[in-house]
Amino acid sequence: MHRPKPTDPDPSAGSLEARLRALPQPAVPAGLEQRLLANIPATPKAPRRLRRIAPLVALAAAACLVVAVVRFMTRDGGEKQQVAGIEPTHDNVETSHSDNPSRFVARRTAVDFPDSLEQPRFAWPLGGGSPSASSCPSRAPSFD
Amino acid sequence: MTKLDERRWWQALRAGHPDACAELVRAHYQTVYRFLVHLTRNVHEAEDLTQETFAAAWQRIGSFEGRANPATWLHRIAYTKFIDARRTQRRAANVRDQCPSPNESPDPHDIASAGDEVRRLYGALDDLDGIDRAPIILHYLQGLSYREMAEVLEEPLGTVKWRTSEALNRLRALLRKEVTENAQTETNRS
Repeated sequence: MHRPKPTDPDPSAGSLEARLRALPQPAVPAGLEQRLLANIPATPKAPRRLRRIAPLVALAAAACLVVAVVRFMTRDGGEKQQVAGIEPTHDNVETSHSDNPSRFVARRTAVDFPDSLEQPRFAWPLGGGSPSASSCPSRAPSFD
Repeated sequence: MTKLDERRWWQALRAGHPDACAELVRAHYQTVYRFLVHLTRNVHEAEDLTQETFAAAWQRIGSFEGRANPATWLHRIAYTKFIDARRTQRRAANVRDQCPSPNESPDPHDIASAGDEVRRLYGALDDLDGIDRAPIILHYLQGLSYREMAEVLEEPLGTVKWRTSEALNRLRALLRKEVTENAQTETNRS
């Protein structure tokens, strides 16, 4: 014997549900399928994940390019300062170091810093005398 | 369809490949249309909303994660389109849940030639408010489970079950009222 559902004391509940489920469905108009198929976009979209990542990748690439350009510009400015003076070759370094280590130290220090920056302080080793020429990094030092 | 084929179809569908989309249309367009006919009780409006439903589906296909099955997902979109259309109509007409007169649209359920029982049931369904009608249509006519209905209606599972039960009680009351009125009419005649 079929027992009615405990949640629904009305014995006709089950029959109403069955009658609803058995209702005939409305007819679908002809041509609707073709119209829907015709409206499908022809070109697939890029995956959503790719569409989210692509701008970030472009931004990162642009940032790297900017950093590279800035570094190149900065390095180019530093190299010019080194080229302006005598290249500290091995011989020069030894000669100047043995003859006048303080002058070499002063020149090397001057080469490392561009004009715009303040020159570091240094002390002349010779007592009682001030240098005959000012320590201008643009002037070629004498190694007499 | 094997599991591998199904996975490939899902991937193609989410990528928006036309072949996969066509397969989705063929598999579900009738269900979506019938759902909208039950809701709107107007074949022309149901047809328009069906096209809008699938147009919206193509726009959202990339974000469809596949947690719900495609039928539930399409029902959700269709129901949203129906609600939006009702809001627009109410704003335009400024009347509450105005139904189109029977002469304005063909018989949506094509029940003129159906039996008395079918006519009674569809008639009683039409008398229900649109909000009450949705759970009965989804569960008994469209065959969705309560869990799927909860996704379509975006309501908790308990609320969906309660609403369906309440709507069924109202429908039963309408049918009893009709039976009582018919019996009284017969009594008056005799």
